[in-house]
Order: sequence, then C-alpha cells, then structure tokens
Amino acid sequence: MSQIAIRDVQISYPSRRGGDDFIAVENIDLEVAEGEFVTIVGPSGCGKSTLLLAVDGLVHPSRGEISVKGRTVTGPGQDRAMVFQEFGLLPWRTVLGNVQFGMELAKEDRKGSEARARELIELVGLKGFENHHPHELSGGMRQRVGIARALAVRPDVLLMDEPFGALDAQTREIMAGELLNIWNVERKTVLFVTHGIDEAVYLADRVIVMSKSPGRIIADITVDLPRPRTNEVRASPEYIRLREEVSSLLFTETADERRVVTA
Amino acid sequence: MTSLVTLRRPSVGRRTESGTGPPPAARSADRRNRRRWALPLLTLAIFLAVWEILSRLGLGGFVQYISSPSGSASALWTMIENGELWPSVRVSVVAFVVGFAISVGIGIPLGLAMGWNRTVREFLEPPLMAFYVMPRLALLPVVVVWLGIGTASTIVIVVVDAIFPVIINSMAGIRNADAKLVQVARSFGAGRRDLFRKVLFPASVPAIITGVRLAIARGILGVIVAQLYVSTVGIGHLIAVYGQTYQTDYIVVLVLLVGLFGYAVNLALQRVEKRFETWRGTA
Repeated sequence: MSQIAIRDVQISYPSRRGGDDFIAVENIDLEVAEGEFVTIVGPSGCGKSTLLLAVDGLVHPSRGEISVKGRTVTGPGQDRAMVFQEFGLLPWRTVLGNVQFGMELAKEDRKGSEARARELIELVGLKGFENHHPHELSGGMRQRVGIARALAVRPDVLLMDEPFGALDAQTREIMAGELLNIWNVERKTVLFVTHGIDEAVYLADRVIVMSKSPGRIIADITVDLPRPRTNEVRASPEYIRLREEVSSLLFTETADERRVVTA
Repeated sequence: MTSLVTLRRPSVGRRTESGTGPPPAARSADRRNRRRWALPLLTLAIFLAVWEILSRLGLGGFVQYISSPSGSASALWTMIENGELWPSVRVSVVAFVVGFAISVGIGIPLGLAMGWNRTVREFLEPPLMAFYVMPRLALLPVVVVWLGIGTASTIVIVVVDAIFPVIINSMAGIRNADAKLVQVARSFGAGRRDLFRKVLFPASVPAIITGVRLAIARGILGVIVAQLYVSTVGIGHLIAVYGQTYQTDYIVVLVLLVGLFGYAVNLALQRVEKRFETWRGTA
C-alpha cells in the first residue's frame, strides 16, 4: 500500500481582487510508497511548495484528497514532519532547544526527548554545538538543526521544502550527500521539493516534474541509480541521461518565459 | 564533516566570572572598562569647567540669573541640610515607581492581547489611539478635580503618559513576529496556547523592552510635569517653587538629579536586556 496518496488534488486561493480564484496546482495524482525518496521539480511558482504544505496539512486542497497511511489529511500531524526552506529555527533557542521543539509540542517526556535530541544532533554532525544559538551557525549547520528537529518527532514521512535553497552551491552538494547518509540511518518516506535538477536526480528514487502555473505533473521518472550514492554517480552515463531528460522537460516548460526575456 | 562548514564561535568577551582564575581576556577587558568610563567623565569635566568659567565671567546683565557648578553644588547642599530634598525625592520616586509598575503591569498584557486577538484589537485600538494623540497633560485640571492635589493625581498622569509606548510596542511585537516561525510551530502541531507561549511571546520580548524603555523616559517626565501643577511636594514641586523665584542654581541641580535618576534606571534596564542579547542580531 502506498504511504502517501494524492488523488485528483486541486489547490486554489481566493483572488484578492475578487475575480477568479488563483489555481496553484491541479489534477495532481501521486502515490508514494513507504521508504521511497521522491523529489518534485518544477519552474518557480508552479505550486510545488504549496502541494507540500497541503501534504503537511497547513493548506487545504480545494478538490481531491490527500491521505497518509490511509488516513485523510485534515491538519498537521505527528506522522509527518517538515524541513523548511529558510530553516525556520527559533532564534532564542539553542540547537538543543530547537531540536526538542517538536517533541515538546507533542508533549513528550522531557528527559526522553533530550536524549533523543542529543542522539539526532550527533547524527546530523552537530555534536559540540548543542548550546549554540542559530545565529552562531552557518547556513548548512542551521539546516542540519532543521533536519534533526523534523526527525525528532519520529515521523513516517519527511517533507522537505527546498531545504537547501538558501545555501551556496558547494554546501548544497555536501548537504545532499549528508542527507542520504542520514536517510540510510533514519529510513523515512521523503517528499523533497527543489528547483535544482542535479539535486533532484541525485537524491531520488523517482523524480516528479511539474509544469508551470497552474502546476500539473508532466513526468514521473524512475531513477535506477545504485545506492548508496556517492559523488561518482554524478559522472555516470545514466545520471547524465536522466539529468538531460529532466532538464529538457523543464526547458520546454519555461521556454515561453525565456523568449520574453530575450526579446 | 562539520569541518567542511564554516564555524562561527561566540565572542569571548561574554565569558565572565566563571571557571578558575581570571580569563586571558580580563586585562584588555579591564582597559576597555576604564576607557568606557574615562571619556564620559572627561566630557563632564570639560562641560563643568566651561560652565563655571562662563558664569564667573558674567555674561552681561544676566549674571544673577545664571547658574554655576559651584552655585548648584551649594544649592544641593542647602537642600540636603534643610531637609527639603529627601522627602521630595521620596515622593517623586514613589510616584514614578508606582505609575511605571502600573503602566508595565497593564500595558504589556493589554498590548499582547491586542496583538494576538483581532477582536480585542479592533475593540480597543480606536479609543486608545484617539487618547494617545490627545494632549493628555491638558487633562491635568480634570484629574485634579477627580483626585485632588497629591500623589494619586501624579500617578495617574504618569500612567496615561507611560502606558502607551508599552501597549503599542507589545502589540507590534506580536504582530511583527516572523510568520515563518508561526508556520513552523503549526506544522509541528502547536495549538493556540503553545503558539503564544513558545513563539509569539518570546519573539516580542525585544519590542516589549523597547516599549518599557520609552515608558521610563515618559514616566519621569510625567512625574515632574504633574508635580509642577498638582502637588505640594516632590522634585517637580521644588522646581516650580524655585522657578517662581528665579533661583536658577536650584532648578539646574534638580533637573540634573532627575536626569541622573533616568540614566540609572536605563542602566538597570540594559542589564535585563543583556540577557536576551545572546540571540539578537541575525535571527
């Protein structure tokens, strides 16, 4: 049975000027199996992040249904946890306090949650930084805290909204490798939204390509590269072929925009 | 693997009075401390010297209305000796402390409630804003009619002046809290109560402190102005009395005392503020 099931989902926002509703995504059908790593790529503004928020329960579909482990999503829940784009750490809390935040809200026992937090801080490579505040950390380190915080609540599904979007290219590559290492230990179902083609192919079992606004799924590409993946994967012919495939799909999608810009 | 990422360590200076022996940075910190005191003191000394010289030179015919540091010092001494100063200081400080405490005690919860709850805000904002822009000191006679001459009236004037920055800043603190953090908290299942306690309130602490700081200045001003008119005791009253007889030495020293008091209260508040400084700067 698939763990995440998105059936005929449309998400729309009421227009501010009282005209037609703005449709962010439509006709979305997607099934994700347990333990699968699925990335979603699409041009900016295609509604991929909105779709992720809907799976988290922060946004409600205007049509269709989303279910996780067979239960319809009506709001945020302990079976899902989100890693946010600009990290979303509480600046007044230490690394330890931030990692404990989700467990605290779930009313978990304090002692147990601290032990779990320390374990995860070590897993994401931040041992020794437990008592630092976010402003004392680099971007990459901050997102490690974000990942640890999400894993701490023991979710079945990890939702990642362009988690490395705010990082420089090099840190981004390092973090992608790190994420796979962490994923080897904490095998979650992952839904990962990005606009980075490399990242999408490198991380995924499947890459979902979305069209520009209103977002629809235009391709569902299986990535059959061997795991665990190392940087050598990026040089393999299969990787390059997949990368090209995704790239050309996205290029056609954004071709109109390009014409406007060059005109 | 962490070594691949740039590490930023916290500054060394905050580490004080812990561990064994003086930290290596103690000596330079000492020097920095001395420097911090030396410059303001020098400014003060130059100011007093110039003031004294100018008053001795006697600027034209105004000489009898011009104060001098030595004159002010002896005025201060006279007021201490004849027992005039201390009761006035006490009355003024009590009026300030009570008025300030009421402003903070009511202003912070009220402002937070207005920031958090739309109904409360829409209900209270129009009357409060209208009252805020009114020349409230013009209501002095009304306050006197209601409460008579004395400390109660002074406290009321302090509160109506000092409470507004507290309310407005507390409200702004909640309303300007990072929407991202609210989303994060909701994603992790925070209810309204947790959202307030764990996100909105801590996020508004810096704004609240700013409001409290403004309230100190306004509160002190309120005490003095109120006592100028509605009191028979207090520093403000003394200023009024000496003002009527053009005894500038006395006025100047009293005003300086008020300034010194405000400076001290602000310094105390800065101590409190420092506790929140650990995470300030970039969020």
